[in-house]
Amino acid sequence: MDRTTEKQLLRLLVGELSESKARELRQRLENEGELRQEFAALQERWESLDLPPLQSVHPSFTSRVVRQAVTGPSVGAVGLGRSTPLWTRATAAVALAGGILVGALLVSPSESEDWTAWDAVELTQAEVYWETMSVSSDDLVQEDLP
Amino acid sequence: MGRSRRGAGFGRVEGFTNVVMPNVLSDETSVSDWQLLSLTAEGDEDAFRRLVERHQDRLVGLCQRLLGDREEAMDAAQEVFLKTYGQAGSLEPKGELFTWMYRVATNHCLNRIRRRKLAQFLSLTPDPEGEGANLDPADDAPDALATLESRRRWRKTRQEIEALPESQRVVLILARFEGLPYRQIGEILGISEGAVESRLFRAMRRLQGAQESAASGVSR
Repeated sequence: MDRTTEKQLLRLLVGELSESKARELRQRLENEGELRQEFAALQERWESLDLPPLQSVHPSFTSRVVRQAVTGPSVGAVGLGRSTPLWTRATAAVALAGGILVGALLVSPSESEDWTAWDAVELTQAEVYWETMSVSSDDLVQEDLP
Repeated sequence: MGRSRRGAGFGRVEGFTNVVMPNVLSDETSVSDWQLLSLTAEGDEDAFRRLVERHQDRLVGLCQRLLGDREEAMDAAQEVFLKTYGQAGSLEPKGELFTWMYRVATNHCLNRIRRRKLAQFLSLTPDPEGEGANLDPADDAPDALATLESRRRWRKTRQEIEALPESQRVVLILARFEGLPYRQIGEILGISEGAVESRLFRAMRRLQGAQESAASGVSR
């Protein structure tokens, strides 16, 4: 089957075909077994896609949004705040703690004269990580889709 | 066939021929989204509240379908509303406000997914998307077997969708689950109707390939 016909079938399925073209294609579907089979398979595939039903948003959501909008972001909402998923924050914290621990194990004050230099390296890595985690959503939202 | 999902919830508003609004607002359709936004810009808190109430279910729903996580979806939707509030005074009343909000929400969710992947790469933690995150909504199924079957179907769908390239995934979600026409999907994503059609077509082809290889894997 050619690509155009396949696209027409998809258009018919999603309701994008004009009335006259839809009638024409339905007529073909009645007469052509292979086309009918193809359409049935496409329809089955389409309908097999299923996601959980959506729930209504709790009324407290509305109040929260309006409050946030009117009063502006709270101190806690800056950077890795409320909008960042818990697992991301936990991961960032673990990575930071890990970095500090590794640094502490590798270098002890007795082994290194230049303790502050090591400390600075570790802090820089951690800062880069925190920076990555707290990119402003406003900056990112401006991006175009690929 | 087909059209049943299309345009569900949308209707023309008298006096605002360019504005399409959800039918659920039929009790208050005398006030358009743009009017509410204009009132918001003037400091009318109640107008903004009405705007949020009007669109919160669908926006959270869209974000949930894109992100696969209810809590994260609510955070994402909140940020979209805050952005809308922040730009209330500067947005041009052109087209449908809801389409603009959908666009912001879509971009925002895609950014979150990218950040999630980056964080996953840096931390080597398992990808919650791959686990079919948060597939436990309110349980409407009459019995346990049906519930189990539903969850199996939802997980399978999420895995199939997540295996698609990002551009195809978004189009598929907007077409299949949001029931939007090609034209509106194009407006949201800033692409032509032809590009929407191509992406959806390729997505369906990929799904077919995935299902066929899964079937052959089972029969082997």
